[in-house]
Amino acid sequence: MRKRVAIVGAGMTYFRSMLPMTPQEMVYEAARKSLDDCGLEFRDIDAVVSGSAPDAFDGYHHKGLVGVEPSGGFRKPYSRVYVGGGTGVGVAVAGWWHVASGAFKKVLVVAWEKMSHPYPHSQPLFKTIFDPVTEQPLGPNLIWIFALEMRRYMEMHKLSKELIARVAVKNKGNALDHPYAQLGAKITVEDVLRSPVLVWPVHRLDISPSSDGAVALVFASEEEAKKITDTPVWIDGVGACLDSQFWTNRDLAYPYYVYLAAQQAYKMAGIANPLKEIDVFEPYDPFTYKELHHLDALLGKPGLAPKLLEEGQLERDGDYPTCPSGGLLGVGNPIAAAGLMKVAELYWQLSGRAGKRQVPNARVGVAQAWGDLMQVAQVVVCRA
Amino acid sequence: MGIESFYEYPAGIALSRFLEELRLGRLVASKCSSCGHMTIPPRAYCVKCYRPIKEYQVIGGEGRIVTYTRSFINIEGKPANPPVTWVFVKFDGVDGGLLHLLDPSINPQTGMRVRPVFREQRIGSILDIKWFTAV
Repeated sequence: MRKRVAIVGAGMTYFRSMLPMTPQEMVYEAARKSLDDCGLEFRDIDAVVSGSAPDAFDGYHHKGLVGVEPSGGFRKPYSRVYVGGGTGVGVAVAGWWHVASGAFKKVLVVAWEKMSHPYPHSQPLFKTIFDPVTEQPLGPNLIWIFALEMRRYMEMHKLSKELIARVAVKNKGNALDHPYAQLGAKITVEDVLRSPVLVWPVHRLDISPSSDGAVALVFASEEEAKKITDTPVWIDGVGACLDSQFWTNRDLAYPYYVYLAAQQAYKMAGIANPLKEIDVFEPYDPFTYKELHHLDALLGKPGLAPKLLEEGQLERDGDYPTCPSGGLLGVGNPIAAAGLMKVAELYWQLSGRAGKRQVPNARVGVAQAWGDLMQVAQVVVCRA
Repeated sequence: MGIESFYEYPAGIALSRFLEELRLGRLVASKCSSCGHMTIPPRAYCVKCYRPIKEYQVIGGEGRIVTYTRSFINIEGKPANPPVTWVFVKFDGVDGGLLHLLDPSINPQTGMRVRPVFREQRIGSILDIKWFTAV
């Protein structure tokens, strides 16, 4: 019989293009804040679950170790979870396993990324994610694969660049109210369309930045959570799904694997109609179109998200507030930390602590991250 | 396929202070204002009670050899001429310790008292210490 799992504390660092801190110092800051948030100490934690992207991005080839000491994870069970870009939500899913299994009562979940170590840029390292025989010889960069998917999505649903650009306008605007955000800004659709075309149809402002940052959450069993806080946020559903390694096997217009992961989480949480029952959506938005692409799958209705965007329903004061945090486009994209930031946003929203970003009467939320070569989906559903 | 990759690392909060003190020819440890625990190389947080570090304390450089080794090959696996002696040095009353080279004229022994020899030209690097030598 699985145990109910609550989030009882959260903390994060600033997301910045270059933080003058070591990864250890970032992990400590996030972990310290999350424990201070709920009045616990490092010694109170039974196990630590950490997450970070491939070693190559910060150049340590045993990177899980970096998080051990500053998270208080030494001399106790400590693991590093890695599922590509989906790691940030995947680490929350794995943290849930630890507590739901009954094996641990209080677990620290921490994710970090330090993308500013490689110079001049982390971009060339992404080349290594492609197939060495069929793709790498072509000299792919990371963006071209998204450009292919974006174009396919636009053609499938007859979407304009002007409409999709509104995701950047919305998210960067929302991020102005996020105290840790890297790229909060008041911009216009014209700004997005006038920004340089990097790989058509992807413009500069369609893309989230490279970032440094760390986020930590404290998970507790039901019994412990009630001792720790009056405002626990329950993780009532989790879902995880990987599609084939070969992206060429998929219809790029609809991320069916995200739909499957969401359905697992909804079934566990007893949600029959996500459109009616969910108050806050935090789909993964490393690119503008990805927010819509993922929201389609979270709602189980291909092509619905762009319509809701057009009607203004995805705004923070709309009927389906989406990325009220500001998302990766606005808050920043330190890979694993960015996904966990979305789960932290659910915690802040559903416990009524989101400050200027607060969605009124938010009771149920969903966060999702995605990654690898367009095949990983990780989903959590939270309830106040 | 080949990718040449370069990295630049910030020293961060605690090690920036450490390097600055090395430039001045001194060793510094982090000191917890809450429990008094001291660590070298310094951390930004106390590894005992996990309060943030607000104090750094210059320590006397004298320490003792905890263990040592001598390498007859270099990083590329080729013969090292002369061979290089590595020592791990701990300092009285301070947690942690430093790995460094040993003065080649010294025959190392466990427990031997040693001190750092600083270079005249210092830039804020662990190499500002030339090596450790016997007290």
